[in-house]
Amino acid sequence: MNFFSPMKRPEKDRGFRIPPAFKTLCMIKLSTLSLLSLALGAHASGTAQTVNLSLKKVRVEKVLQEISKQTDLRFFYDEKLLNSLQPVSIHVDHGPIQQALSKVLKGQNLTYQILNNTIVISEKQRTAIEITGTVRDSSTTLAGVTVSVEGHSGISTKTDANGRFSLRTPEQAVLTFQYMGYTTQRIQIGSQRTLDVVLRANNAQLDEVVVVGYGTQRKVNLTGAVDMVSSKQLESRPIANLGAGLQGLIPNLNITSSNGRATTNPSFNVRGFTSLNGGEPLILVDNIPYSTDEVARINPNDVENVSVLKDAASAAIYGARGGFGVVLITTKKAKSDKLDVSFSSNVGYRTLGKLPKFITDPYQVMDIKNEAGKPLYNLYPESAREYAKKRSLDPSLPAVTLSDNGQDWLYTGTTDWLKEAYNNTAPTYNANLSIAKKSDKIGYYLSSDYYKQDGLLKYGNDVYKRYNVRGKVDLDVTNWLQISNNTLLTSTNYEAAVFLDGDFFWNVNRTNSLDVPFNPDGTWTKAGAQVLGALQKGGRKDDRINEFVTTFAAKASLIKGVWDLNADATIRRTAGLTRSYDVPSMYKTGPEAILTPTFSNTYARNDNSTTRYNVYNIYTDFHKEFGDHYLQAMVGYNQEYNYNNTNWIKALSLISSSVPSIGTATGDISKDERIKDWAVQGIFSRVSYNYKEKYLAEFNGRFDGSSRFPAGNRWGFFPSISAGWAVSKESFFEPIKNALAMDFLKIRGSYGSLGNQLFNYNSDYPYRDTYPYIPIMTNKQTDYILGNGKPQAVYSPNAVSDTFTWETIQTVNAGIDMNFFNSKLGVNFDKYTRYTKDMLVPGKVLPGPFGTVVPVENAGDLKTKGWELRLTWRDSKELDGSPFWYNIALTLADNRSWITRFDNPSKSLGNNWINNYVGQEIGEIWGADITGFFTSDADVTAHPNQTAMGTDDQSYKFYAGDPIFADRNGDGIVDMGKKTVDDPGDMHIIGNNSSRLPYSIDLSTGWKGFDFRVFLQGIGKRDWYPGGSNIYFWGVYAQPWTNPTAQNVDHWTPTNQDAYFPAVRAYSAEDNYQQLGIPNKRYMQNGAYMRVKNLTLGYTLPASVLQRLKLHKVRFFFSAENVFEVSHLKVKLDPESLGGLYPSSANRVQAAYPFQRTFTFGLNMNL
Amino acid sequence: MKRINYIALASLVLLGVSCKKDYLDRTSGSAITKEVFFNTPEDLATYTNGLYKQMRAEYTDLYSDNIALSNNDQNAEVRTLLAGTLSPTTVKGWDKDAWAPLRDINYMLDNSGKVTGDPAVINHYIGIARLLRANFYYKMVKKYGDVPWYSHVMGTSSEDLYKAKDPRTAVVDSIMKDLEFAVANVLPAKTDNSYITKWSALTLLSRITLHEGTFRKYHTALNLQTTAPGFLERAVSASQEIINKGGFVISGNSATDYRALFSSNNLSTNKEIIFLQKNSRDLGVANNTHTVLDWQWALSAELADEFLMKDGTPFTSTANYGKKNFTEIFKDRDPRLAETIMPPGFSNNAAGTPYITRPDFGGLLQIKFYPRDPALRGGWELNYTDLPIMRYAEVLLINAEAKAELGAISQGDIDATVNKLRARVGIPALKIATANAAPDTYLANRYPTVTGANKGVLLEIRRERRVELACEGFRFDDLYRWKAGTLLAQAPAGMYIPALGGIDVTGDGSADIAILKKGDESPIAMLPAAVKEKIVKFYVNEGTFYLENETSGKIMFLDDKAPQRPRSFDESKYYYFPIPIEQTVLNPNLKQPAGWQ
Repeated sequence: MNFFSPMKRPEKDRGFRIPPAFKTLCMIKLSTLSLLSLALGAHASGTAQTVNLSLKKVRVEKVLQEISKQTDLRFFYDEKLLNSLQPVSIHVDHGPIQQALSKVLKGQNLTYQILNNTIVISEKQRTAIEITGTVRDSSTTLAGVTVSVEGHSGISTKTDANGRFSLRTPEQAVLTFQYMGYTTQRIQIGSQRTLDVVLRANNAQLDEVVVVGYGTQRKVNLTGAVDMVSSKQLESRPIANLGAGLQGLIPNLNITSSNGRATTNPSFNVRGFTSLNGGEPLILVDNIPYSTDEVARINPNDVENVSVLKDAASAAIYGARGGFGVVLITTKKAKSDKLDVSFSSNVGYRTLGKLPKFITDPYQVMDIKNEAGKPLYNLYPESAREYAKKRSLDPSLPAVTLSDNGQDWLYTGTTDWLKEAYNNTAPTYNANLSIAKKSDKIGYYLSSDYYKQDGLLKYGNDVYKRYNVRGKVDLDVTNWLQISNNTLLTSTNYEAAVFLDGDFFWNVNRTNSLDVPFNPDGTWTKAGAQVLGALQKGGRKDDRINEFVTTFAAKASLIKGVWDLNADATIRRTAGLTRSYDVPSMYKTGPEAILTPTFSNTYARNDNSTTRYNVYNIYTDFHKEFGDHYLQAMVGYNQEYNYNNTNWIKALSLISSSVPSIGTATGDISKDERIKDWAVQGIFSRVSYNYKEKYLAEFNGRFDGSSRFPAGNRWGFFPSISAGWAVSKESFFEPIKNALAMDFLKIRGSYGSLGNQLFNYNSDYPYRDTYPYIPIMTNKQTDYILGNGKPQAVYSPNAVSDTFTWETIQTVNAGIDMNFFNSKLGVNFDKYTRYTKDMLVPGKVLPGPFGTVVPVENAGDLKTKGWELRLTWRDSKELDGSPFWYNIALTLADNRSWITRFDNPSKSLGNNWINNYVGQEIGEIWGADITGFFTSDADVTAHPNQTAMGTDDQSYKFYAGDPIFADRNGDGIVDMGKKTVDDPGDMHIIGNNSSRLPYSIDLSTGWKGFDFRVFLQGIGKRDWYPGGSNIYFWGVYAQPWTNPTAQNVDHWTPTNQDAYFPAVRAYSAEDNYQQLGIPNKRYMQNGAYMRVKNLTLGYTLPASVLQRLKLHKVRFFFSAENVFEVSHLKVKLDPESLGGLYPSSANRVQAAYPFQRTFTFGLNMNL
Repeated sequence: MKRINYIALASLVLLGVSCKKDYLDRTSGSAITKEVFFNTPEDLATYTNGLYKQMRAEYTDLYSDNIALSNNDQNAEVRTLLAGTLSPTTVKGWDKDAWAPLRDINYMLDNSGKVTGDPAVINHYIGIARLLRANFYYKMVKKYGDVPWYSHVMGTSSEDLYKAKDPRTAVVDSIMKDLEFAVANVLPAKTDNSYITKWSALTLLSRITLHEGTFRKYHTALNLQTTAPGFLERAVSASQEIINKGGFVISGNSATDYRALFSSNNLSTNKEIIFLQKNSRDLGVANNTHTVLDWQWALSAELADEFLMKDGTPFTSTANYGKKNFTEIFKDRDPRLAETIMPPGFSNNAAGTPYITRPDFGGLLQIKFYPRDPALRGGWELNYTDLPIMRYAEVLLINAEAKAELGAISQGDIDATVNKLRARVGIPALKIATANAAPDTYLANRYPTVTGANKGVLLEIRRERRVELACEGFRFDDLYRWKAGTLLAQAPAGMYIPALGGIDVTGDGSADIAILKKGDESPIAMLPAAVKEKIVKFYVNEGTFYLENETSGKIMFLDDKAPQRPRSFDESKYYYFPIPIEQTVLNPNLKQPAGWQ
């Protein structure tokens, strides 16, 4: 019991008179107190006094002392009542004392009375005991868990940063522990005074709040197809970028990456094939649209959760841009009032993944190439082959010899150029630090991240660096207005050889294995200089992007808890500068030869890109319960403007390669500038209603305008409706629920019509992404000389359609959500049909004299059918005194698409057999059947004429050992008919290159601080045909001078007629739809695969150790990415590199880098 | 209600900012549309700058009988045609890319109406566009005979996209209108000869009229013989105008001067050049001419044979001309032979070591257009020699041939044309009387359709044309217009090999290469060890070639031999190319050319 008054004036208040009323009061309210023995005194005037307080995070007692100091008042209270209170912050500017006291005691089970000069603080509800304890989940302590007493709404507290709490409760109370994402736990208090509570993660996550467009929604109340993952699923393993981390986590969120280069950013797709002209999901980070490149640059550690809006109903709020799904990324913010300092760091080693294999034995190589070259060339003279034979038997013989004339070096090497080009391992480093804290008026989150990835190149390596700083502040300006700012600074730098751009991997593959990199005198050989010297000594390219994004947002409560108004304004400024230059590397061809440069025209070039992007949103949200009815309504406005200026300047002839700059170049200068801007405006609205959370209905709509369309066709309206029925809440369902151990069942249905305003058509259109309806003439400098220089020229514009408008995407979706066994098992299933109408695709194929690319028009319709399934099993139990938990998550999806309208009356398939026609299934591959190989030249004439299936390089002739194409229609000639669907000759559909049945299996478990995760991901069904010039597969069949692949060895010869490959024939696999370039089942590859995407083993230090270290959490982990894969390809290529969902030539897959396996050691630490 | 006021105010400000009229009306600050373009003659100049890509220099005779073997045309349609396997299913062309140049030209012509300024300047540029349209269309006529004529840019719904072909006569008439407009309006010398001038317009007109005139004369199946003289007369008058008024001359008086036309870096002031393609290291504009030597092809013995002896007599009249060694064939020949085919002892390096020819492609390597100066020869697409697109020698040859075809040629005409070319390299003048008195039998056998009083001189003009303009891209067209396609069916040959064993190809008397049969090194067993050590060996029947008579004779190519791809020429259809089948599906009114239906 404390009783104090201002020290300065101790004598002034002596001599108390206890008013009669006080006695009564004390008798009633303060029955347990012995304070009656204390003398009290007060002046009535005390209640009119004001105080001036500004205190932060202090004990309540301290506030009372301060008030007492400033006034004549003294306090009277039970010490025990104040002991367990959390520190408070208070700001009162000459306010009445009552205001100060209300603030101090707000939310506590306490009240006060002013009696003359004494303030008596007492409990609102009587408590008898004090309970203390900690709350944790299976792995760590939980901060911010709400601990309350059932039946006593005023008594509650929250756990502190260490998961500890202390609460005074009545006797025999029932405590409840509530935390988002966890099952609420009830504990009956008996004799115990300390509790150690373990919360179980809520399996169904029904209580989970899901981020939807312009708001959040409880998962139970969702009527659309929405999926969400939280940071938990991302942060346990090291990831290069967010896209890589999301791969496989959400069914039908398809993330693909074409190669393993640090700057290759994964592309996103929702629910498969979208439109013939492409179409990507809209990605928003904190409500601001981001491109996939921009997403790849953000710090994955900043991400709190990722929501995917898959169907039209949930995406309709984004109208014309949500047609192909929406990915909402929300970044972290401060959660608790304890300073949360989190640090993580990891070091990874990447090793080369699959590489195509080539034979390098010099004699074997010469033999097979020579065979391929006939009769066009005699690639290797007899003398060379003789030496190769000797060297093949005795590898100690030198690889470099002198030619007959004694001047030139001859090379008889066994070089595996891929091994020469790449190192076996390369490091990756990542460090991340974040600080967050939230008090009652202000919250902040600051984070910084550094990521560095070294390339795998042996010579002139490339290095990628990324820096990220984010600062978020939330400020309660008044009790009805909250202002926040979210600022991001990103900087990336990629420094690499210019030669790495383009077809580096392809070029390395094509470099002759008989060549060697270095001459005996240590100089580069020509081949070495062209491939490796260009990396080591050639020009470099330094690419820097600096990005600044800041969002100011305000939220005003018009009617507290019922009606809110939100507004935000964002500016993004991006500046990119790429400085590049090229200089030759030097090589020698013989001992006395002079050093020769690989090329003569050096240059320096600067590429500048500036982007201004402004986004404004304002929306107001009304939500209220009317008895059993809940109504929410939202209406808002969005406006965006984007301006981009890219310009470059290139100057020839550097004075010195050591000072490569456009300023120091002396030669011809070329340049270009391209300015693009676009704007969108939209008005959007959502109305949702539910009755007892049993019957749910929602309407979303948006009226959108885009500058990408001509004035008359600029605006579109995109509505959607959806409904849900929580069957499990019906009383008639109880018996079924009990019988099936089912906890929850909801069925959902939706329909919506959305738009698409972004399309990727022919790159011949220089301004296709901003002014696709304006026929813009290109202007550029000629590449030839007229008069004294290379003049500027203006060229005719490509054709455009003057009527086109939005693509419309209609989606019908039906879904079911179920939970069983106390929500341990969760089942989510969605089935949908998506109609992509008025696709902006090249209109009907026009006769050649049209003379240019057929412009896009709203010329086609597409239908996509698909489904997705997610099964989750989450459980935890006590094992050997410690909680053991394990989670299993399975995802599986599928989709197929067909063309339902396309103006191609003749159903012509064109030269490349890819023209669209009504009834076409996307991805279908037209091909022929190969029945065997000709046994002899005479055998060729004994079979039906198949000239039409030949290759121009062999003048469409066939010889012994060549493939026999089947005369399927039995007309006595093997041909391609009219190359139409109705007359395809002997061609037919032999497969489909769509990625079908993408799946993932995620297993994770933890016990005694150890956690372990296995993540598998794969594609269930896909055909892949190695097209013409796929040298990795075809080797010498593509071009005779390329390297023979390991699989080429098994080829037809008169004595090996049963081989996999036909007789070696130059160029027979060079062009698509010629000879081996005609797809056929014999060489069709099974593109399905399963990959162990990630293995992680982590260990979290136990709480006892942490307390000694004064740390909150420490976790060590080892993680392995892309560990191994099951693939059925005959060629050692990474199955993921074969290309994404769209048909592509795939000839030069792999670009600069093969995929890599990554092994990482890391540390996560929270102070 | 204070908060409501704040919010209302903020909302008003926001609305004020956002409700800008035409917010969604956006145009680029850097893009050009026809609305802002096509206003001044300078705009036309800028546009035509881009059209010049349609007319670039040639420096090979690929696909013709001037070539022995070429990897470059292994997959060319001409080779496939000769192998008898080209068909509408496999042929390329007639697609948007093939027709794109026409659209580019028509786009300017469709929009040039709103240009204001000096009519003479405007018509100069329109003339250039129409000249290029004529050039485009004549190429189409050469390939397909009849083609549809389009004088405007086609829209997606233009009915004309589905029209049938216009007959050759109508198309050629339209071409002539374009040419005559160009000749009448293109200014004589706008700036320099890298631009199209009246003289290049006249040269193209002469070239096309000579082609059309001779084509109609010799392709009698067209039944247009009677219209031939009109074209030939225009060829004469146009070429005569250049001769009389152009101020061009045959430059120099030596083989070196002849060489300079094809391998020097500044031809701007050369008075023989009518239309020039400039290249420059400083500007980063280069050609790929170094590849003519020993990269993918070599020249044929047949071409070499046609060069006269230094005394003006035919090489083919000398005894055993077909059995002369590589080193012998260059002796006492028209100096242009050694400027066209690499002679023994030729060196392309500073040290002067001779370049050793290889028999793989036949051994007669092309040297015309090969940059001699190593400073101009930087490698792939890095050679900086200027290249003639049109030169005066062609005009003289057109003039002579057209006059001879018309039967109205005099010794004076020959002296003013053919003999100027001969005189430069020191070959005795051609005498009409002598030539006509005893037409060269070798040539007469090759061109049996040449008849009449001027047979002798016409044959010599054809020889002169082949020799002077070798490797300049004319030969294939010449064979087609002369209806001499059967010459393409002859298997080409390379140099003569007297016997298996060592052969001197550098002229130093010692063997540099050896042609052997696999497994039998005996023919070089007797050679001195020093020679044997350096000798480069080639084996017959192993790679690309064989010898005419197994162990001796001209080098021939396995590719031309059964079961590979023996050549043939079907006179009834090969003068035209088929149209890809999908084009006839897209436009059912489009019919295949004669012979391909």
